[in-house]
Amino acid sequence: MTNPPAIICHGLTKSYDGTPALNGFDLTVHQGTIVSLLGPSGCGKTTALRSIAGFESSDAGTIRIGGRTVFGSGVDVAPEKRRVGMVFQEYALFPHMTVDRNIAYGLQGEDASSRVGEVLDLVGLDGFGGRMPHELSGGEQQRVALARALAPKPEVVLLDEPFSNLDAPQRDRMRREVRQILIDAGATAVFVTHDQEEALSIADVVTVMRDGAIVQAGTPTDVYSRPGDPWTASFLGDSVFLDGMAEIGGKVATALGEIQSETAERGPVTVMVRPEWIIPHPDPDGNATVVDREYFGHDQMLLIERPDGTTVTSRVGARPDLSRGDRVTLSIDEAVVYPAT
Amino acid sequence: MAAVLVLIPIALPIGALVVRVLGASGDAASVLFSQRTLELLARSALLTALVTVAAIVIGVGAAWITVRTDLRGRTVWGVLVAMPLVIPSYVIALSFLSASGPRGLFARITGVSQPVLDGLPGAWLALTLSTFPYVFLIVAAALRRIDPALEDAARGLGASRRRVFRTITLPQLRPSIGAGALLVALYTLSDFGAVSLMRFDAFTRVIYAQYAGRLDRTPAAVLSLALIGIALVIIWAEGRTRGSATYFSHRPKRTATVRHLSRTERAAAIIALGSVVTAGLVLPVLVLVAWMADGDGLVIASMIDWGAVGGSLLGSSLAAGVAMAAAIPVVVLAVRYRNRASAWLERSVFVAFSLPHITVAIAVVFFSVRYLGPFYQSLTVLIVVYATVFLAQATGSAKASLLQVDPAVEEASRGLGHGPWATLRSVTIPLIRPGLLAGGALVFLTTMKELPATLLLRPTGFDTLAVDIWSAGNELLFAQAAASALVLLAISAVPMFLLVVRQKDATA
Repeated sequence: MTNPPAIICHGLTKSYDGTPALNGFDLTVHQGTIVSLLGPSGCGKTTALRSIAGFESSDAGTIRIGGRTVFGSGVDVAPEKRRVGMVFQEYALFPHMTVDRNIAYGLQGEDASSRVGEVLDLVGLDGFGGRMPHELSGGEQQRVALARALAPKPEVVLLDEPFSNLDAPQRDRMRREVRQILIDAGATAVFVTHDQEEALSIADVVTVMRDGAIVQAGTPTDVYSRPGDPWTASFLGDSVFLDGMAEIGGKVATALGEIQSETAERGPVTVMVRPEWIIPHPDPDGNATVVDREYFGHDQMLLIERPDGTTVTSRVGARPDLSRGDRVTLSIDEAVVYPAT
Repeated sequence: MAAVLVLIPIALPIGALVVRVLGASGDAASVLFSQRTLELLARSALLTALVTVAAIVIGVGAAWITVRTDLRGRTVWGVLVAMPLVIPSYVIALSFLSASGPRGLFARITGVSQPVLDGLPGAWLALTLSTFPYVFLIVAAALRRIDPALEDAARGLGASRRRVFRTITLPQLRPSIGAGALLVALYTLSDFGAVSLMRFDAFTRVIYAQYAGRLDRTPAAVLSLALIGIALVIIWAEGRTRGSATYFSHRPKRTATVRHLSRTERAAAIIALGSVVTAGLVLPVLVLVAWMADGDGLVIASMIDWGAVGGSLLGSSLAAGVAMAAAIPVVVLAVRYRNRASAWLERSVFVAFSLPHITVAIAVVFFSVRYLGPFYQSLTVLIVVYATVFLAQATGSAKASLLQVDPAVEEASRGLGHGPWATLRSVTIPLIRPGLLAGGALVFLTTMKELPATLLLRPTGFDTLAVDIWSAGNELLFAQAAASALVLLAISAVPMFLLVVRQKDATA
């Protein structure tokens, strides 16, 4: 993160008829990074994106793009003057223009056509320039939309739920492709999504949004394994919550044994464990039992019942040594400790 | 086959007319290529062009203001601007004609003689005001359908508002503007009431004069066929623009951001919309009411021609009933037995609806005089012609209803032992009844306003409000014409109101 910031949003606030959509939204995006804005629907992420692009005016706060104030202290730069490229959810390709003309729309001057060729090459659509948008597949339309946004070399590219219109296999491929295109172009990008897997897999930095503000920002590994609070933990992936008792030095006693943590809490705490952090060991004298198994092929979820009758889930790979009814003992690899709820 | 019968009442006479005119070939050619006919063509073309351009300017402007700006009360403005559509063109013409001129209403009130508003300017004004709502409605709907993300995308790529309008919005609107313009052109070319009251010698007025005033009716027949030919070209073009007007692949999820109007822009918008609504709606109604009030001490009731009221009600109700009955086989074929023949049938129903009524009437007159002796100028022929030309209105909404009926419901009835006819009677018709009734109401409404076919085909002694308005207006009996016009508007308001209420229920 040594690059200078491309976008700085500070204290953005916006409400529609009294309903807040943004509530003290702060975001810093460094040049050349891909940032995902992840949150449940209605958390204000699209409003945030549209405010950065200039399609919405916030009630308060400031936005700086490329070191220039584009919003705040009486300034509200028109969207066409912000140097922001936007990729829309439904792509918004101009239906009455060829691919070439769509891409050239944001370009001026004589070298426009050579730039069109460059970005078509970048997105792997050489020779598609003469097609009309309706002659393209969903994935191709997506790439044209991206090429059009990249063509004027914007400070940042904003993508609004870019993969929501594609079917599952196409989506996985496009995620990888779009990430690679953005990296090849050296672009700074912010994309909005409500899909955890998507956010974690293509972003350098994941920011989690809730109720109009960002609750956590960090690398994908960071936010997944160190979620800031129980809500974020559940939102980002499967979570098992256990009661625990913390002692001095970060030792926490739980029903699954004692774990060492960095917590400064004392007394009753809530412990969050990802299912893949719970390791079952076959043990005929173990006090827990595998009661059910959900098999996915590449991995599986085991439902394990503990002596007190409660169950936990454990995500494991192929484990021919474990089947329904087997007795096990459990150990925990990792855990995150929160104040008791 | 049964469904093809529904079009015979006008297809056969037009065919017979073609044969007859071709038979009299020498005469026909001399009429068709005479200096007079070419002048007539030029006059009609000029009027059509002027009306179309004006309707586009007003219609697109009003659509943009009411859909894309933050003008207060823009929904109400939207309704008001579309309202002149319910006033027949000859009523608007009547009000301008009777308000202007040395003996007009303004002259009587102010005591200063006014120039009379008739001829080309009068016809232009009256027809523009009664047709621009077509452009307005079509373009406003298209403006709402345009995905605002396209305009956002263009602005994000650095385009100014003006460039976005020119390169993105306008090209998206072009098919709709084209469709609206062709509709206006067709309406203008077919209009008889306004041009004849305004004494502007367009095609329809000359056809009528040739028919009514001469022993040799061949010229009327030739001119009718020429007008049918021109109308068919426009209808064909309109069908083509409609087919290609499918730029919109999905409904936009977001409504467009509206343009904030400055103080002066707001004032300009209100003045523009206000004058359109005043000229097309407020003024005509006020003029009619003023004539009633100015009725030289006559009791209002005595000015109303009750015979004409009865004739209008009778003719319109019968036409609506026959059209609803005929619509059933057409929509069942069009929806359930979709093939090339049923597609042709549907298209011909639409063509029948779009042909100028005066030409249809001329063809029917020639045909019934020769082949239907006893039925010549009978109520039966008139009703059948009404029902045939307005059939498209009945099939339109009935088709929409039937499209929403799951064919599985009918199959279930068949599976439970009911034959096709029993299923039609007990399942299909009850399910599409709301659509049929709405279509019937629409037919009632348009029959009520119909003028040229009624004028030519009505039985002796059969009078309608439309005929009454027209003949009183022609004889400058403005108080009498105003009384009939107000009654016509009042009666039309009832089915109109029901249609609007139904549409509200449907959208709610």
